[in-house]
Amino acid sequence: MAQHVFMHLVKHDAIRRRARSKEYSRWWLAYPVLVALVGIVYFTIYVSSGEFQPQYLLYWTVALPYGFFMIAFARTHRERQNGTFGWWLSLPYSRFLLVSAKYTASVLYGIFCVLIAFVLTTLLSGYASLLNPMFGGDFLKQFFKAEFLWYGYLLCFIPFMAAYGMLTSFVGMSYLKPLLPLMWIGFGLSGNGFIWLTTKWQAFKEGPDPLHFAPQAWSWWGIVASFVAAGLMLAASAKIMEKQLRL
Amino acid sequence: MNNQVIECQHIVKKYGSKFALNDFTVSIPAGKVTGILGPNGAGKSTFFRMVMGLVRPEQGHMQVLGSRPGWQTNKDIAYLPDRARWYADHTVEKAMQWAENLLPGFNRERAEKLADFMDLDRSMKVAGMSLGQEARLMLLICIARDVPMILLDEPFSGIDIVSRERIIGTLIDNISETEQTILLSTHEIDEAESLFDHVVFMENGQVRLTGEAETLRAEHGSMETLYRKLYR
Repeated sequence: MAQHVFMHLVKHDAIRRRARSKEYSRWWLAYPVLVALVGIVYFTIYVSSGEFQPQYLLYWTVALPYGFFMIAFARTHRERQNGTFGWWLSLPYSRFLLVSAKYTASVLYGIFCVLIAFVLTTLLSGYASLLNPMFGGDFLKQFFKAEFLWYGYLLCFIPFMAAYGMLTSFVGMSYLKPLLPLMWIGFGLSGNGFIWLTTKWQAFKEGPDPLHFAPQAWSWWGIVASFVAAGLMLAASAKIMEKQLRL
Repeated sequence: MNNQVIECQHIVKKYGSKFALNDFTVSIPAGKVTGILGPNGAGKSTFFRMVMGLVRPEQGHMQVLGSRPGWQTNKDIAYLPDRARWYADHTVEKAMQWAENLLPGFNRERAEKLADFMDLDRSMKVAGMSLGQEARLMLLICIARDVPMILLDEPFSGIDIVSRERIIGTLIDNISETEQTILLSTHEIDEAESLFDHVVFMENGQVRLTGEAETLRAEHGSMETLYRKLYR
Protein backbone atom coordinates (compact mmCIF):
# COMPACT_ATOMS: atom_id res chain seq x y z
CA MET A 1 0.00 0.00 0.00
CA ALA A 2 2.76 2.46 1.04
CA GLN A 3 4.65 1.81 -2.21
CA HIS A 4 1.50 2.25 -4.26
CA VAL A 5 0.74 5.54 -2.44
CA PHE A 6 4.34 6.70 -2.84
CA MET A 7 4.17 6.21 -6.59
CA HIS A 8 0.91 8.17 -6.83
CA LEU A 9 2.34 10.98 -4.73
CA VAL A 10 5.50 11.16 -6.85
CA LYS A 11 3.43 11.16 -10.03
CA HIS A 12 1.17 13.88 -8.65
CA ASP A 13 4.17 16.03 -7.67
CA ALA A 14 6.28 15.34 -10.74
CA ILE A 15 3.71 16.51 -13.25
CA ARG A 16 4.09 20.21 -13.73
CA ARG A 17 0.82 22.00 -13.20
CA ARG A 18 -0.37 23.91 -16.22
CA ALA A 19 -3.43 25.88 -15.30
CA ARG A 20 -3.40 27.99 -18.46
CA SER A 21 -6.50 27.90 -20.53
CA LYS A 22 -6.35 26.11 -23.91
CA GLU A 23 -7.51 29.30 -25.52
CA TYR A 24 -4.04 30.87 -25.08
CA SER A 25 -1.86 27.76 -25.23
CA ARG A 26 -0.77 28.46 -28.85
CA TRP A 27 0.32 31.96 -27.86
CA TRP A 28 2.41 30.62 -25.00
CA LEU A 29 4.03 28.15 -27.38
CA ALA A 30 4.92 30.98 -29.78
CA TYR A 31 7.33 32.58 -27.30
CA PRO A 32 9.77 29.65 -26.87
CA VAL A 33 9.72 29.10 -30.65
CA LEU A 34 10.55 32.77 -31.24
CA VAL A 35 13.34 32.72 -28.62
CA ALA A 36 14.78 29.53 -30.16
CA LEU A 37 14.79 31.08 -33.67
CA VAL A 38 16.48 34.29 -32.49
CA GLY A 39 18.95 32.19 -30.45
CA ILE A 40 19.92 30.05 -33.46
CA VAL A 41 20.45 33.13 -35.66
CA TYR A 42 22.54 34.79 -32.94
CA PHE A 43 24.54 31.60 -32.32
CA THR A 44 25.28 31.19 -36.06
CA ILE A 45 26.58 34.78 -36.32
CA TYR A 46 28.60 34.39 -33.10
CA VAL A 47 30.29 31.13 -34.15
CA SER A 48 31.02 32.48 -37.65
CA SER A 49 32.65 35.59 -36.17
CA GLY A 50 35.48 33.49 -34.70
CA GLU A 51 34.98 34.86 -31.16
CA PHE A 52 33.15 31.77 -29.92
CA GLN A 53 34.68 29.03 -27.74
CA PRO A 54 32.61 25.83 -27.14
CA GLN A 55 33.22 25.89 -23.39
CA TYR A 56 31.09 29.05 -23.28
CA LEU A 57 28.16 26.69 -23.78
CA LEU A 58 28.83 25.23 -20.33
CA TYR A 59 29.41 28.38 -18.29
CA TRP A 60 25.80 28.93 -17.38
CA THR A 61 25.53 25.40 -16.00
CA VAL A 62 27.44 26.37 -12.83
CA ALA A 63 24.10 27.93 -11.81
CA LEU A 64 22.25 24.61 -12.11
CA PRO A 65 22.80 23.58 -8.44
CA TYR A 66 20.86 26.71 -7.44
CA GLY A 67 18.13 25.52 -9.76
CA PHE A 68 17.99 22.11 -8.03
CA PHE A 69 17.43 23.92 -4.73
CA MET A 70 14.65 26.09 -6.17
CA ILE A 71 12.86 23.14 -7.77
CA ALA A 72 12.43 21.46 -4.36
CA PHE A 73 11.79 24.70 -2.51
CA ALA A 74 9.03 25.71 -4.93
CA ARG A 75 7.32 22.31 -4.84
CA THR A 76 6.60 22.63 -1.13
CA HIS A 77 6.07 26.38 -1.13
CA ARG A 78 3.55 26.10 -3.95
CA GLU A 79 1.22 23.91 -1.84
CA ARG A 80 0.93 26.74 0.65
CA GLN A 81 0.64 29.51 -1.93
CA ASN A 82 -2.02 27.70 -3.94
CA GLY A 83 -4.18 26.87 -0.91
CA THR A 84 -3.72 23.10 -1.30
CA PHE A 85 -1.49 22.75 1.76
CA GLY A 86 -4.32 21.50 4.00
CA TRP A 87 -5.16 18.66 1.61
CA TRP A 88 -1.54 17.59 1.44
CA LEU A 89 -0.89 17.82 5.19
CA SER A 90 -4.02 15.93 6.16
CA LEU A 91 -3.19 12.90 4.00
CA PRO A 92 -3.09 9.84 6.26
CA TYR A 93 0.52 8.87 5.57
CA SER A 94 3.75 9.31 7.48
CA ARG A 95 5.30 12.75 7.13
CA PHE A 96 8.49 11.12 5.87
CA LEU A 97 6.57 9.44 3.05
CA LEU A 98 5.00 12.75 1.99
CA VAL A 99 8.35 14.57 2.14
CA SER A 100 10.17 11.76 0.32
CA ALA A 101 7.61 11.76 -2.50
CA LYS A 102 8.02 15.49 -3.09
CA TYR A 103 11.78 15.08 -2.84
CA THR A 104 11.82 12.23 -5.36
CA ALA A 105 9.73 14.29 -7.78
CA SER A 106 12.18 17.20 -7.36
CA VAL A 107 15.22 14.97 -7.94
CA LEU A 108 13.63 13.47 -11.06
CA TYR A 109 12.87 16.93 -12.38
CA GLY A 110 16.47 18.00 -11.63
CA ILE A 111 17.77 15.00 -13.61
CA PHE A 112 15.42 15.89 -16.45
CA CYS A 113 16.80 19.48 -16.50
CA VAL A 114 20.41 18.19 -16.62
CA LEU A 115 19.52 15.85 -19.48
CA ILE A 116 17.90 18.70 -21.41
CA ALA A 117 20.99 20.86 -20.81
CA PHE A 118 23.23 18.00 -21.95
CA VAL A 119 21.27 17.44 -25.15
CA LEU A 120 21.18 21.17 -25.92
CA THR A 121 24.92 21.72 -25.44
CA THR A 122 25.68 18.57 -27.44
CA LEU A 123 23.49 19.73 -30.32
CA LEU A 124 24.94 23.25 -30.24
CA SER A 125 28.55 22.06 -30.09
CA GLY A 126 27.81 19.73 -33.03
CA TYR A 127 26.25 22.64 -34.94
CA ALA A 128 29.31 24.83 -34.09
CA SER A 129 31.62 22.16 -35.52
CA LEU A 130 29.67 22.30 -38.79
CA LEU A 131 30.01 26.08 -38.95
CA ASN A 132 33.67 26.13 -37.94
CA PRO A 133 35.83 23.05 -38.76
CA MET A 134 38.25 24.08 -35.96
CA PHE A 135 35.66 22.75 -33.47
CA GLY A 136 35.25 19.40 -35.23
CA GLY A 137 37.23 16.14 -35.15
CA ASP A 138 39.41 15.60 -32.07
CA PHE A 139 38.28 18.83 -30.47
CA LEU A 140 34.66 17.71 -30.61
CA LYS A 141 35.56 14.32 -29.09
CA GLN A 142 37.44 16.02 -26.27
CA PHE A 143 34.53 18.39 -25.71
CA PHE A 144 31.99 15.55 -25.49
CA LYS A 145 34.19 13.74 -22.98
CA ALA A 146 34.59 16.84 -20.79
CA GLU A 147 30.90 17.66 -21.14
CA PHE A 148 29.92 14.13 -20.08
CA LEU A 149 32.10 14.27 -16.97
CA TRP A 150 30.89 17.76 -16.08
CA TYR A 151 27.19 16.94 -16.34
CA GLY A 152 27.75 13.68 -14.48
CA TYR A 153 29.36 15.67 -11.70
CA LEU A 154 26.47 18.14 -11.65
CA LEU A 155 24.01 15.26 -11.28
CA CYS A 156 25.72 14.37 -7.99
CA PHE A 157 24.68 17.76 -6.57
CA ILE A 158 20.96 17.16 -7.03
CA PRO A 159 20.28 15.06 -3.87
CA PHE A 160 21.94 17.55 -1.53
CA MET A 161 20.60 20.74 -3.10
CA ALA A 162 17.05 19.39 -3.44
CA ALA A 163 17.01 18.26 0.21
CA TYR A 164 18.37 21.63 1.27
CA GLY A 165 15.67 23.42 -0.75
CA MET A 166 12.99 21.31 0.88
CA LEU A 167 14.35 21.88 4.38
CA THR A 168 14.56 25.66 3.76
CA SER A 169 10.94 25.68 2.64
CA PHE A 170 9.79 23.87 5.80
CA VAL A 171 11.90 26.09 8.06
CA GLY A 172 10.19 29.12 6.48
CA MET A 173 6.76 27.73 7.35
CA SER A 174 7.61 26.72 10.90
CA TYR A 175 8.41 28.11 14.32
CA LEU A 176 12.07 27.85 13.26
CA LYS A 177 11.58 30.74 10.81
CA PRO A 178 14.25 32.91 12.55
CA LEU A 179 16.80 30.45 11.07
CA LEU A 180 15.71 31.36 7.55
CA PRO A 181 18.37 34.08 6.88
CA LEU A 182 21.05 31.54 7.76
CA MET A 183 19.48 29.04 5.40
CA TRP A 184 19.53 31.59 2.55
CA ILE A 185 23.18 32.45 3.26
CA GLY A 186 23.88 28.72 3.11
CA PHE A 187 22.02 28.60 -0.20
CA GLY A 188 24.21 31.39 -1.61
CA LEU A 189 27.36 29.62 -0.56
CA SER A 190 26.36 26.05 -1.29
CA GLY A 191 25.49 26.18 -5.01
CA ASN A 192 28.73 26.72 -6.87
CA GLY A 193 30.77 27.11 -3.66
CA PHE A 194 30.64 23.35 -3.52
CA ILE A 195 31.95 23.15 -7.07
CA TRP A 196 34.84 25.55 -6.28
CA LEU A 197 35.83 23.54 -3.22
CA THR A 198 35.70 20.11 -4.75
CA THR A 199 37.31 20.68 -8.13
CA LYS A 200 40.71 21.73 -9.37
CA TRP A 201 40.62 24.22 -12.20
CA GLN A 202 43.52 24.08 -14.59
CA ALA A 203 42.90 27.67 -15.56
CA PHE A 204 41.94 28.77 -12.07
CA LYS A 205 42.97 32.40 -12.50
CA GLU A 206 40.59 32.80 -15.43
CA GLY A 207 37.66 31.44 -13.44
CA PRO A 208 35.83 28.12 -13.65
CA ASP A 209 36.05 26.45 -17.02
CA PRO A 210 34.02 23.26 -17.12
CA LEU A 211 36.06 22.11 -20.10
CA HIS A 212 39.21 21.90 -17.99
CA PHE A 213 37.77 20.79 -14.72
CA ALA A 214 38.70 17.71 -12.73
CA PRO A 215 37.33 16.65 -9.34
CA GLN A 216 39.70 16.55 -6.39
CA ALA A 217 40.67 13.04 -5.32
CA TRP A 218 38.58 13.35 -2.17
CA SER A 219 35.58 14.95 -3.95
CA TRP A 220 33.79 11.63 -4.36
CA TRP A 221 33.85 11.16 -0.59
CA GLY A 222 32.43 14.66 -0.35
CA ILE A 223 29.64 13.59 -2.67
CA VAL A 224 28.90 10.53 -0.51
CA ALA A 225 28.85 12.77 2.58
CA SER A 226 26.43 15.11 0.79
CA PHE A 227 24.09 12.16 0.13
CA VAL A 228 24.11 11.33 3.84
CA ALA A 229 23.48 15.01 4.65
CA ALA A 230 20.55 14.95 2.19
CA GLY A 231 19.01 12.01 4.07
CA LEU A 232 19.37 13.83 7.38
CA MET A 233 17.79 16.98 5.93
CA LEU A 234 14.83 14.95 4.67
CA ALA A 235 14.36 13.44 8.13
CA ALA A 236 14.58 16.96 9.63
CA SER A 237 11.97 18.22 7.13
CA ALA A 238 9.59 15.41 8.13
CA LYS A 239 10.12 16.20 11.81
CA ILE A 240 9.42 19.91 11.26
CA MET A 241 6.31 19.01 9.28
CA GLU A 242 5.08 16.85 12.14
CA LYS A 243 5.84 19.07 15.10
CA GLN A 244 6.87 22.60 14.18
CA LEU A 245 4.61 23.83 11.38
CA ARG A 246 3.03 27.22 11.86
CA LEU A 247 -0.53 26.97 10.58
CA MET B 1 -17.51 2.08 20.60
CA ASN B 2 -17.62 5.06 22.90
CA ASN B 3 -20.47 7.37 21.88
CA GLN B 4 -18.14 10.39 21.93
CA VAL B 5 -15.91 10.65 18.86
CA ILE B 6 -13.90 13.60 20.14
CA GLU B 7 -12.96 14.29 23.75
CA CYS B 8 -11.05 17.44 24.65
CA GLN B 9 -10.01 18.29 28.15
CA HIS B 10 -8.49 21.62 29.15
CA ILE B 11 -6.76 22.17 25.83
CA VAL B 12 -4.48 25.19 25.53
CA LYS B 13 -2.98 26.43 22.27
CA LYS B 14 -1.34 29.82 21.82
CA TYR B 15 -0.06 31.68 18.75
CA GLY B 16 2.51 34.05 20.18
CA SER B 17 0.81 35.65 23.16
CA LYS B 18 -2.72 35.09 21.81
CA PHE B 19 -4.75 32.12 22.97
CA ALA B 20 -6.33 30.21 20.08
CA LEU B 21 -7.76 27.63 22.50
CA ASN B 22 -7.85 28.34 26.21
CA ASP B 23 -8.93 25.65 28.66
CA PHE B 24 -11.06 24.22 25.87
CA THR B 25 -13.14 21.27 27.04
CA VAL B 26 -15.73 19.61 24.83
CA SER B 27 -17.20 16.23 23.84
CA ILE B 28 -18.56 15.57 20.36
CA PRO B 29 -21.21 12.86 20.08
CA ALA B 30 -20.95 10.08 17.49
CA GLY B 31 -23.32 9.78 14.53
CA LYS B 32 -24.61 13.33 14.71
CA VAL B 33 -24.14 16.59 12.85
CA THR B 34 -22.47 19.05 15.17
CA GLY B 35 -22.31 22.73 14.32
CA ILE B 36 -19.17 24.46 15.55
CA LEU B 37 -20.23 28.08 15.72
CA GLY B 38 -18.71 31.34 16.80
CA PRO B 39 -17.28 34.62 15.55
CA ASN B 40 -13.98 34.95 13.68
CA GLY B 41 -11.03 34.17 15.92
CA ALA B 42 -13.10 31.99 18.26
CA GLY B 43 -10.72 29.04 17.68
CA LYS B 44 -12.90 26.88 15.40
CA SER B 45 -10.25 26.28 12.72
CA THR B 46 -7.55 25.62 15.32
CA PHE B 47 -9.84 23.02 16.89
CA PHE B 48 -10.34 21.34 13.49
CA ARG B 49 -6.61 21.38 12.75
CA MET B 50 -5.94 19.85 16.14
CA VAL B 51 -8.43 17.06 15.43
CA MET B 52 -6.44 16.40 12.23
CA GLY B 53 -3.15 16.38 14.15
CA LEU B 54 -1.86 19.38 12.18
CA VAL B 55 -1.36 21.45 15.32
CA ARG B 56 -0.63 20.09 18.78
CA PRO B 57 -2.01 21.22 22.10
CA GLU B 58 0.46 22.83 24.48
CA GLN B 59 -1.55 21.59 27.43
CA GLY B 60 -4.52 19.33 27.92
CA HIS B 61 -5.63 16.05 26.47
CA MET B 62 -7.40 15.18 23.24
CA GLN B 63 -8.77 11.89 21.90
CA VAL B 64 -10.14 11.44 18.40
CA LEU B 65 -11.93 8.17 17.62
CA GLY B 66 -10.31 6.70 20.71
CA SER B 67 -6.72 7.64 19.82
CA ARG B 68 -4.34 10.56 20.04
CA PRO B 69 -4.81 12.64 16.86
CA GLY B 70 -2.13 12.32 14.20
CA TRP B 71 -1.68 11.27 10.59
CA GLN B 72 -2.57 7.71 11.60
CA THR B 73 -6.10 8.72 12.65
CA ASN B 74 -6.64 10.76 9.48
CA LYS B 75 -7.50 7.64 7.48
CA ASP B 76 -10.84 7.70 9.30
CA ILE B 77 -11.53 11.41 8.84
CA ALA B 78 -12.50 13.40 5.76
CA TYR B 79 -11.42 17.00 6.17
CA LEU B 80 -12.28 20.11 4.20
CA PRO B 81 -9.71 22.69 5.29
CA ASP B 82 -10.51 26.34 5.87
CA ARG B 83 -9.87 28.58 2.80
CA ALA B 84 -8.80 25.56 0.81
CA ARG B 85 -8.42 25.50 -2.95
CA TRP B 86 -8.13 22.53 -5.26
CA TYR B 87 -5.27 21.77 -7.68
CA ALA B 88 -5.82 24.18 -10.55
CA ASP B 89 -4.63 21.78 -13.26
CA HIS B 90 -7.04 19.00 -12.25
CA THR B 91 -10.28 18.23 -13.99
CA VAL B 92 -13.18 16.83 -11.95
CA GLU B 93 -12.21 13.37 -13.23
CA LYS B 94 -8.58 13.82 -12.23
CA ALA B 95 -9.56 15.08 -8.78
CA MET B 96 -11.64 11.93 -8.30
CA GLN B 97 -8.69 9.78 -9.43
CA TRP B 98 -6.43 11.62 -6.97
CA ALA B 99 -8.89 10.92 -4.16
CA GLU B 100 -9.32 7.29 -5.20
CA ASN B 101 -5.55 6.76 -5.10
CA LEU B 102 -4.75 8.65 -1.93
CA LEU B 103 -7.81 8.88 0.32
CA PRO B 104 -8.84 5.67 2.10
CA GLY B 105 -12.53 4.87 1.84
CA PHE B 106 -13.15 7.03 -1.23
CA ASN B 107 -16.27 5.68 -2.87
CA ARG B 108 -16.00 6.28 -6.61
CA GLU B 109 -19.58 5.31 -7.34
CA ARG B 110 -20.96 7.74 -4.79
CA ALA B 111 -18.58 10.46 -6.02
CA GLU B 112 -19.94 10.09 -9.55
CA LYS B 113 -23.53 10.35 -8.33
CA LEU B 114 -22.61 13.41 -6.30
CA ALA B 115 -20.87 15.00 -9.30
CA ASP B 116 -24.08 14.60 -11.31
CA PHE B 117 -26.18 15.98 -8.48
CA MET B 118 -23.84 18.92 -8.01
CA ASP B 119 -23.81 19.61 -11.74
CA LEU B 120 -20.07 19.09 -12.14
CA ASP B 121 -18.95 18.02 -15.59
CA ARG B 122 -16.12 15.40 -15.38
CA SER B 123 -14.01 17.21 -17.98
CA MET B 124 -14.30 20.61 -16.31
CA LYS B 125 -10.94 22.03 -15.26
CA VAL B 126 -10.59 23.62 -11.80
CA ALA B 127 -8.74 26.61 -13.28
CA GLY B 128 -11.89 27.50 -15.21
CA MET B 129 -14.35 26.93 -12.37
CA SER B 130 -16.22 29.50 -10.31
CA LEU B 131 -15.55 29.51 -6.54
CA GLY B 132 -18.89 27.79 -6.00
CA GLN B 133 -18.08 24.98 -8.43
CA GLU B 134 -14.67 24.49 -6.85
CA ALA B 135 -16.26 24.40 -3.38
CA ARG B 136 -18.72 21.75 -4.59
CA LEU B 137 -15.86 19.67 -5.95
CA MET B 138 -13.98 19.86 -2.64
CA LEU B 139 -17.10 18.92 -0.72
CA LEU B 140 -17.64 15.99 -3.09
CA ILE B 141 -14.09 14.75 -2.36
CA CYS B 142 -14.89 14.80 1.36
CA ILE B 143 -18.37 13.39 1.55
CA ALA B 144 -17.80 10.61 -0.96
CA ARG B 145 -15.63 8.86 1.59
CA ASP B 146 -16.80 5.94 3.71
CA VAL B 147 -15.19 7.13 6.93
CA PRO B 148 -16.61 7.54 10.43
CA MET B 149 -16.06 11.29 10.63
CA ILE B 150 -16.23 14.32 8.33
CA LEU B 151 -14.91 17.79 9.25
CA LEU B 152 -16.07 20.71 7.14
CA ASP B 153 -14.41 24.00 8.00
CA GLU B 154 -16.38 26.88 6.47
CA PRO B 155 -17.60 24.99 3.40
CA PHE B 156 -19.83 27.91 2.33
CA SER B 157 -17.26 30.67 2.61
CA GLY B 158 -17.37 33.03 -0.40
CA ILE B 159 -19.94 30.94 -2.24
CA ASP B 160 -23.10 32.17 -3.95
CA ILE B 161 -26.53 31.24 -2.62
CA VAL B 162 -27.31 28.75 -5.42
CA SER B 163 -24.13 26.78 -4.71
CA ARG B 164 -24.79 26.99 -0.95
CA GLU B 165 -28.26 25.54 -1.36
CA ARG B 166 -26.93 22.79 -3.58
CA ILE B 167 -24.21 21.93 -1.05
CA ILE B 168 -26.69 21.87 1.84
CA GLY B 169 -29.03 19.71 -0.23
CA THR B 170 -26.17 17.32 -0.89
CA LEU B 171 -25.27 17.19 2.79
CA ILE B 172 -28.86 16.47 3.84
CA ASP B 173 -29.04 13.70 1.27
CA ASN B 174 -25.71 12.27 2.40
CA ILE B 175 -26.55 12.41 6.11
CA SER B 176 -29.73 10.43 5.59
CA GLU B 177 -27.77 7.72 3.74
CA THR B 178 -24.84 7.29 6.12
CA GLU B 179 -24.24 7.24 9.86
CA GLN B 180 -21.20 9.45 9.85
CA THR B 181 -20.32 12.05 12.44
CA ILE B 182 -20.14 15.45 10.82
CA LEU B 183 -18.57 18.58 12.28
CA LEU B 184 -19.44 21.71 10.41
CA SER B 185 -18.27 25.24 11.09
CA THR B 186 -20.08 28.04 9.32
CA HIS B 187 -21.23 31.64 9.58
CA GLU B 188 -24.26 30.86 7.42
CA ILE B 189 -26.28 29.67 10.43
CA ASP B 190 -29.68 30.50 9.02
CA GLU B 191 -29.19 28.25 5.99
CA ALA B 192 -27.33 25.45 7.73
CA GLU B 193 -29.21 25.19 11.00
CA SER B 194 -31.60 22.52 9.77
CA LEU B 195 -28.56 20.23 9.50
CA PHE B 196 -27.51 20.44 13.14
CA ASP B 197 -28.32 17.83 15.79
CA HIS B 198 -25.86 19.26 18.26
CA VAL B 199 -24.10 22.62 18.53
CA VAL B 200 -21.01 24.05 20.17
CA PHE B 201 -20.77 27.81 20.49
CA MET B 202 -17.18 29.02 20.87
CA GLU B 203 -15.69 32.33 21.94
CA ASN B 204 -12.08 33.32 22.65
CA GLY B 205 -10.88 29.75 22.47
CA GLN B 206 -13.44 28.43 24.95
CA VAL B 207 -16.83 26.75 24.83
CA ARG B 208 -19.49 29.34 25.50
CA LEU B 209 -22.46 27.02 25.22
CA THR B 210 -23.11 23.48 24.01
CA GLY B 211 -26.18 21.31 23.72
CA GLU B 212 -28.72 19.48 21.60
CA ALA B 213 -29.98 21.66 18.76
CA GLU B 214 -33.61 20.72 19.36
CA THR B 215 -33.49 21.69 23.05
CA LEU B 216 -31.75 24.98 22.28
CA ARG B 217 -34.23 25.76 19.51
CA ALA B 218 -37.12 25.10 21.89
CA GLU B 219 -35.59 27.50 24.41
CA HIS B 220 -34.43 30.26 22.07
CA GLY B 221 -36.41 29.99 18.82
CA SER B 222 -33.59 29.41 16.36
CA MET B 223 -29.83 29.01 16.30
CA GLU B 224 -29.48 32.36 14.62
CA THR B 225 -31.44 34.08 17.42
CA LEU B 226 -29.33 32.33 20.01
CA TYR B 227 -26.15 33.28 18.13
CA ARG B 228 -27.18 36.93 18.12
CA LYS B 229 -27.96 36.77 21.85
CA LEU B 230 -24.62 35.20 22.70
CA TYR B 231 -22.38 37.43 20.61
CA ARG B 232 -24.26 40.72 20.72
